[in-house]
Amino acid sequence: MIFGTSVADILIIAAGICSVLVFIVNVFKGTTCCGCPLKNQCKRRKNSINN
Amino acid sequence: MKSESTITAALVGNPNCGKTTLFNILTGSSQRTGNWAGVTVEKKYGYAKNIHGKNGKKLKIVDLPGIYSLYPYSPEETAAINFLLHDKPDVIINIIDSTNLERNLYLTTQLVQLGLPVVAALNMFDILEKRGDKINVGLFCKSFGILFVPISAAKGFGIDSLLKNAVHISDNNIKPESIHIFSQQTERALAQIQNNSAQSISKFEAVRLFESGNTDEPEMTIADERYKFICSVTKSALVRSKSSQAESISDKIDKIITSRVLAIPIFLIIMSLIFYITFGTPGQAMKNVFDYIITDVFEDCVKNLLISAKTSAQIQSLVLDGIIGGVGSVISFLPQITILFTLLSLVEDSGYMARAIFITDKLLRRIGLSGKSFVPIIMGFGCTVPAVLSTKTLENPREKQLAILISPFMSCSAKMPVYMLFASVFFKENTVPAIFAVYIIGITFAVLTALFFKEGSSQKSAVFLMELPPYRLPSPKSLFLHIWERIKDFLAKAGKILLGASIIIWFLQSFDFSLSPVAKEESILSQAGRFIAPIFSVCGFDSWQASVSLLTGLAAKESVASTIAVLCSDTGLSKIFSGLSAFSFLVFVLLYPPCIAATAAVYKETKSLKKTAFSTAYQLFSAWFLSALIFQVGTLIKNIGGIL
Repeated sequence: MIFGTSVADILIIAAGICSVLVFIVNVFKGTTCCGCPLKNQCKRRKNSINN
Repeated sequence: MKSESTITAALVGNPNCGKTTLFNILTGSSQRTGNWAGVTVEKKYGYAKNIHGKNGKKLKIVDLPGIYSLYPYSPEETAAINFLLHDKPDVIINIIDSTNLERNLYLTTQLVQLGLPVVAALNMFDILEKRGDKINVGLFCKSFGILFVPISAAKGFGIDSLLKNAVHISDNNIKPESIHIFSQQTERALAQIQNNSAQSISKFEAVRLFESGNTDEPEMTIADERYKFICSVTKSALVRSKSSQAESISDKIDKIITSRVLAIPIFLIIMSLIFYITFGTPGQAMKNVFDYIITDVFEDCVKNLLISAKTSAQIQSLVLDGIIGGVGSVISFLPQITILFTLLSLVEDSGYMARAIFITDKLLRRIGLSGKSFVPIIMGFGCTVPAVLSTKTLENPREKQLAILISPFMSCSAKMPVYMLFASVFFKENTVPAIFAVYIIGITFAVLTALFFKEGSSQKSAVFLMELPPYRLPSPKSLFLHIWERIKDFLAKAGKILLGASIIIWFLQSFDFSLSPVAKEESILSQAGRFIAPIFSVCGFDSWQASVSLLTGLAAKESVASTIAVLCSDTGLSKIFSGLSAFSFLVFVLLYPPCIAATAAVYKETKSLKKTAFSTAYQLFSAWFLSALIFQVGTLIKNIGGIL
């Protein structure tokens, strides 16, 4: 076993996997709006009068 | 699309009259507001809280970009006007800046002729009263045939009354009373046009037909008569105090701040001060305190916790070297980032930002851009994504493309942790000049790019109209909200992007392809990094650690700092960089594509894969070329110095 089997080990691994999944979703689905002052505004384009 | 279950209320008014501030109060949103024109570039909507129309209808509020009249000059104005003319909202809420009545009422004279229910809000009424001006609201209502409600969006008074009246007017479809704005002769001509029309048309449509001749004369007559009407109403309904007629304090300050001789030096002094406070002794002192809390207090606590919980050595390394080392390295710059945001918010809220746009207009025109392009450029210092999206306001396609091309060269706030990390190691004595130099290189390179691509363009920059808001003492509440929003976003990014990225980086640098724990030098990451590292040998940073951190920076620029912190946790940065190669690395970080989101924003705005690919390739090549140039020239000077 690479990571050990204590309860704390398992909990930290689970939290780590969740964080990686959140990262993947944020980057690859293009939802990197956190940090962007426009939030999700640019994605609400179908509601935009420009379309 | 109109819905039976909602009342659509459109917020319409001149730029910078407080529409978005009101929108945020009504809907509980936190849309970006600013005291210069062009902050709102797209229609936004939300639902009003605690108010409903007949049969429980919800009140949908639409915030439109600012317009001066119903004749558009720019794409965002066209969008706003198309919404009014084609989507026909149930009620128009016309926001009027009470301190600039004559100019704002021009649009009102057009809105009341559309044949749609209208209610007017006299915004900033508190400022008008404070100045001692007296206004006869009843006479305004009678003259324009609509209801005028005094409000203050910033102070929050009169808003309930405005909403109730808007809902009442919409529920009962109360249209503006018929009023005579024009001379008898013009009114007769308009009546004739309306009578002769095969289908029923609004008075505004009749005016448009009246103006649609071959000459400009009818259009000028209409504009002239509208202003005459406004003047006659304001003359009898508004009594100005002596203080408001006298030269205001803002005007006096502007005489110095925007003067021909002092404008640029004052601008540079203010910017240098912001730099000194952020990156100099005050910012550094706060950073050291925060650093101590994270690396000494917090890290020790976590270490003891992990040991007492009997976690394995690998897990301890993951948490301490991977997560705290990576995310913590970026978070430790939070105090300096907060200082920068606070100072920029102060500059903006006080009204100086609008002056900065005005001052730089002349300079920008020389490189083929107008003052209007300053908005995307200044936004680029915050985040490239809204900067690129705000180019929507630029009418001239050439200018728009140029602004899209150069905005990513501005040092966005995500690049700051990278600069600060390197400056704290390599330029301890000269932190402010080193970071300032990187910012200046970005601006200079943007100017050179603009000058280079300006050639061949025969189109002149579009006319730039801008109103300078009066100087105001920023309200603590709005200042706090501005800063809080930015800090929240910074922390959210740390949680959503940097945490995951740091874990992946730690994993890849701790194991080989057979998933056996190995030294960093034999890890998956080092093998991948070594594959691309030779490209950067000419730039002076051919280590696999530098290459990998640049790759992760494509997801979010802060990742460069967190990655390099994880990868160099044992050796330190000075093992893989010299002072010169560190500087050329910073220049590379400055110029190469900011992040995936920014590239996506370029595609959204240009709607062209070719232009997006060109912009990305140009950024990559510029970054590589300039950092190579800096390193090679620097090495040459060093060698010559050594020989002499």
